[in-house]
Amino acid sequence: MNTVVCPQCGSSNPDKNEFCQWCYAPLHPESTSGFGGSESASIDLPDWLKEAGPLPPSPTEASDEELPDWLLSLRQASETSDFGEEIQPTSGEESFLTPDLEKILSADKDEETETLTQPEPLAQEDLTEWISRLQGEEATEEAPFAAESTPLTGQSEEELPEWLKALREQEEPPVPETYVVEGEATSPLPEPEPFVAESLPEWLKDLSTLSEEGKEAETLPTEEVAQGPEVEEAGLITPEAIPPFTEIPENITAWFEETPASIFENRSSGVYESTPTPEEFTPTTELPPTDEIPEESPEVIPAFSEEDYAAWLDHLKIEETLEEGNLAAQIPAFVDNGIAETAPSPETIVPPFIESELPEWLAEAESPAEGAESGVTPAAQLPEWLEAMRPVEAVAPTPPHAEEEDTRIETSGPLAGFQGVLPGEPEALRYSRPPIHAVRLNVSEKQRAYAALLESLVTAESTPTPLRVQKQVTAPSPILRLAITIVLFAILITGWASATPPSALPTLFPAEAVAFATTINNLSAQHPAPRVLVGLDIDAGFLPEIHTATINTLSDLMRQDARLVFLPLQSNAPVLGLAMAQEAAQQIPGYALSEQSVHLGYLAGETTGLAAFAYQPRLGMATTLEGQPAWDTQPLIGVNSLQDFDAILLITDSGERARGWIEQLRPLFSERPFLVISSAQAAPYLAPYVQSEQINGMLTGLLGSILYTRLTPKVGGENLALWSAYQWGSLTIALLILLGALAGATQALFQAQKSRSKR
Amino acid sequence: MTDALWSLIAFVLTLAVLSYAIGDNPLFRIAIYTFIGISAGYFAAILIDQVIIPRLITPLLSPSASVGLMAIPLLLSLLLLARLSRRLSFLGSLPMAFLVGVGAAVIINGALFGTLFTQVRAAGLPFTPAQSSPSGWLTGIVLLFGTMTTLVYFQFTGRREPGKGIVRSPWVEWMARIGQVFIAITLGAFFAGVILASLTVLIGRLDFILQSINTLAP
Amino acid sequence: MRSPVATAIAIGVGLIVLLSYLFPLPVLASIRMLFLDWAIILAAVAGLVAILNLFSVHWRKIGSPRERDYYSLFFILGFIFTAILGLLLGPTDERIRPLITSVQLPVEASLVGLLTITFVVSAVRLFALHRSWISGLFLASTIVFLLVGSGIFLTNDTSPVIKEVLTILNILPGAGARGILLGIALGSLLTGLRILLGMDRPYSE
Repeated sequence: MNTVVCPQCGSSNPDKNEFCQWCYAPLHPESTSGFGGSESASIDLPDWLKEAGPLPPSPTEASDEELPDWLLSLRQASETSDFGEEIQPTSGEESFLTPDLEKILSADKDEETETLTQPEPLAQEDLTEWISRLQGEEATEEAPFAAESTPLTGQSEEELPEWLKALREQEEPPVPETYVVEGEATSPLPEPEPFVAESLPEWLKDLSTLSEEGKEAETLPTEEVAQGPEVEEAGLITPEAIPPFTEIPENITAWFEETPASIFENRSSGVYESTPTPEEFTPTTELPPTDEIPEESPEVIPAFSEEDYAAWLDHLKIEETLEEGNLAAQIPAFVDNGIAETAPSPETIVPPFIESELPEWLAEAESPAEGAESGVTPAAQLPEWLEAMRPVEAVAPTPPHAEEEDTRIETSGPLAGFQGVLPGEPEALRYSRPPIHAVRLNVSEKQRAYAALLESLVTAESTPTPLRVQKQVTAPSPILRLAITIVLFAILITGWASATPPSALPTLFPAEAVAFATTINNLSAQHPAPRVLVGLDIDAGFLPEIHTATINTLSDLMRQDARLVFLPLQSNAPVLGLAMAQEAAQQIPGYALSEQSVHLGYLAGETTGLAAFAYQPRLGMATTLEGQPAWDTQPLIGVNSLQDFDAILLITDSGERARGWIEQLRPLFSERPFLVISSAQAAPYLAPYVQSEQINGMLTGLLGSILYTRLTPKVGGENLALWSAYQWGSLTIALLILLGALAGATQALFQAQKSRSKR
Repeated sequence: MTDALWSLIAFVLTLAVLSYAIGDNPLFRIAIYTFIGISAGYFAAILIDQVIIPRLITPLLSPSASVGLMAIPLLLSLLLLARLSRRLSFLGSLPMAFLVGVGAAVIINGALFGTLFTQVRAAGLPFTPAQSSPSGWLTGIVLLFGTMTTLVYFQFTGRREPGKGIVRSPWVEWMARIGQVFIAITLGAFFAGVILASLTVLIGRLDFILQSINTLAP
Repeated sequence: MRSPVATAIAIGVGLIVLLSYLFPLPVLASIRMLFLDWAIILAAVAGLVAILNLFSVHWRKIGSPRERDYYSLFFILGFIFTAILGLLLGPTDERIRPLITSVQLPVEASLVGLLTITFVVSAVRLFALHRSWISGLFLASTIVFLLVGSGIFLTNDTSPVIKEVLTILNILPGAGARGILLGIALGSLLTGLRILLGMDRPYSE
């Protein structure tokens, strides 16, 4: 890997580096844009000027006729000065390179190093006219535009911070001119030494050196001076290595003499797009005599053509109009942005040039600057080679650090008024006592109550509540289950076999049973051949419970020549209905079952089916169990609605299903009796309907069968064996439950005693 | 002969099921599985024979029937059958929605006019002049009080108070406690009715077994 | 919203049927009957779907080696035999009726009879498991109404005091049952309204 020696600190750096990785000094002369890089373009000299610094003046300065007006005025102003009198006026027939300059330029390269190490101030007489004028303007403290264009020097003596005044006093005599360059809007604001040393372009440093007649050379660090040979060894030409105009050694002059004009052509035609290699500066070819160079040759001149001037001056003008002002020209690049915001107002700024004195091209350049006042900054018209030389940051649409730009303005210390600098004093020193706020919230009682409620809710949610310990319910002991089974079976069989109930047959009758029996047996008195809808909503499993009551009731109805219409709502109900009807009909020999009764088809949908049947029975159930049209049968002739039935008899084992019947049919059948034969398990559920008279009579379970038999005496209607088993069984179960409860209570007492004794 | 065979089958099945009182056994399982199979088969036959054919198929095949109208329940029925497939079961939600919608309206109507209005009115019947009597008044008061307290017991809403959880107002708490008494008594009566019903059926089975033994025994 | 079409169907159909109850217009009554008829058909088809699903479960149990259940064979045989016979002969044919009276009825009744023992065992152990005043009251009520339901007090030998007590005892469950009935009716009403408002969608997947 190739290494490059830093001209600043002398350390080795990779060849690809542009800046020293140790001291951050530019390693290549082209990259000496300072820290600010492109940001410092407004105050740093353009790159072409940096490069052109040591070069001979362009032919445009050869004659006064070709000089712009503003430059002429400047020249005149300098001629009027005392110092300017010492300078020979520029003659129009001066060659491109004066003899002195030729002498300097013809010096050997080795002597250039000597010149660097021991700057030898040249006599004013040796200087070319323009250099001497320039020097004269800088040496004298009355540079006209400096005086005119520096509001800070003139008007803001009082406005300057104390530290700046102190600095000015220390630096007497002030040398603001040192930094003034023709054509640049500058301010003679004295800068602290560090800024001068670190951030100013080298050629400006050289100019300042020139203005102070070698005084600056004495103050140059020896390190910087001593690096000349190293630079030479490395074959690099850095701005530091290039002597100021006044100190151009002879070797450089010679080099210029030997340099072909094509080099200058290349400079103007974009050769400098790439970093110039040391070879480009090495006088490998013989330069033609200077007098052979045509004065106005376009090939030679274009390095500083008018457009280029206009471009960079335009750029400067724009920035000036943007109120970066004169101060910006002297401010290091890294504080450039801060200046832009802290510069004085346009009214207070004295323009560096009187408008009438401005050259045309500069006057034209004002128009975009005016546009910039409205916030639109026009792009600078840079020549191609200059554009190409700009650092990448300048070309980039948005500087990567633009968003992170520190907009804070320093308010104290030596950097007061600057923006984006590191804080001059620690933040902690700025700490002020925080305002005291009332700790107590201004809440109303209602809000406080809500808050308390919310807090309680949150607390209740987060507070662990002990889980209720579920007692493990174990399966009943097989012995207990077997014992109960044996006892119960034994009692039932004994009761069944003995047929001796523990009590006499019922002589007291519940009202609903009496109403049931009365209604059934009086139907024919009110309606001859009463038409009765028999709802079969029963499972086969509970049929034995109500079998007897159902058979007796149906036979009583048949005895009255009732027309029975069976409507099944359970899947096995059709068969059960057929079987019970046949069994009941066997008790009534003269009853024509097939003619007087009809079995409608199975009604699906439970409640929905009942609703359909209740509102339009013919549509609700159109066919019989055999699939024949139901409403053409004899029992249903003339029936169009539910109210054409004389009574409804519901046989059910479920209180829930009975509720469906009552809810759907009873509202449309309010004037006729609604009777129910139900299982004992549905009786409590249906009791409210009995009390509300939605059920006009009801028989429940085996007891209902016995009661009905007792109410409507029939031969052999009372099955004493069943009744006896039933009563004995009921009493036994009641006794078992009682014993179980007592056993549980005793166990609880024992456990309580046991726990008490343990305590 | 046939009746005797069927009686024997019934006898064996009854014994097989009752054998569960001793413990689970294969006979019980065979009886149960057979019973469920026969019940399901019979139920399917009933549904097809008594409902689907006369209500759906016959009108569709009948020339005078409004076939267009019956196409809708046919389509809904086919969608409902899609529930047998896991992939297509989502199609069954449409007929189920129809069924539920109709059922909801029917239930609302029945609950309003069949139970709510009538039972509320019945609660005031004992206090009407026609039925007024000291015992009737007493009965009416007990019924009304019991009904109200029972309903209050099922009111589970209350205010959440800090540290106490959900708390009902004192009078509601008091009424609910009384309602709890009524509910306990009522559920006791229900349970007693269930026991008596099952006892009666058990006695009927014992009666069948004993009669069968008397019949089948030589 | 899940299954919006189904929800719309449920709400629309339900509202039409409900409006037909509230406004007895002939047109609405006709629509209601049509819907009710379709609902009956669909209920039957739904029952059929349930049965076929049960059949498929047992069919899988026979074929699956992992959860093979040989008892399912009895279900399959009983199902196929009854279904075919019922469809061929008709479900109310005299040759079919014994399947109900001699198979279904005895088995179902025996199962109900077995419940007696289960209930008694549970009641005997109840107080030992849940010792509380409500359990005691429940058991006391059970014992009292077992005695009342047995009919031992329905004789003339019963003293007038017992008669009065029995009368009052009969009123108490009536009051509680009415409260329960009203609660059920209110619950049904609320459930129906929630379905019609689309808040409950039990038909969704």
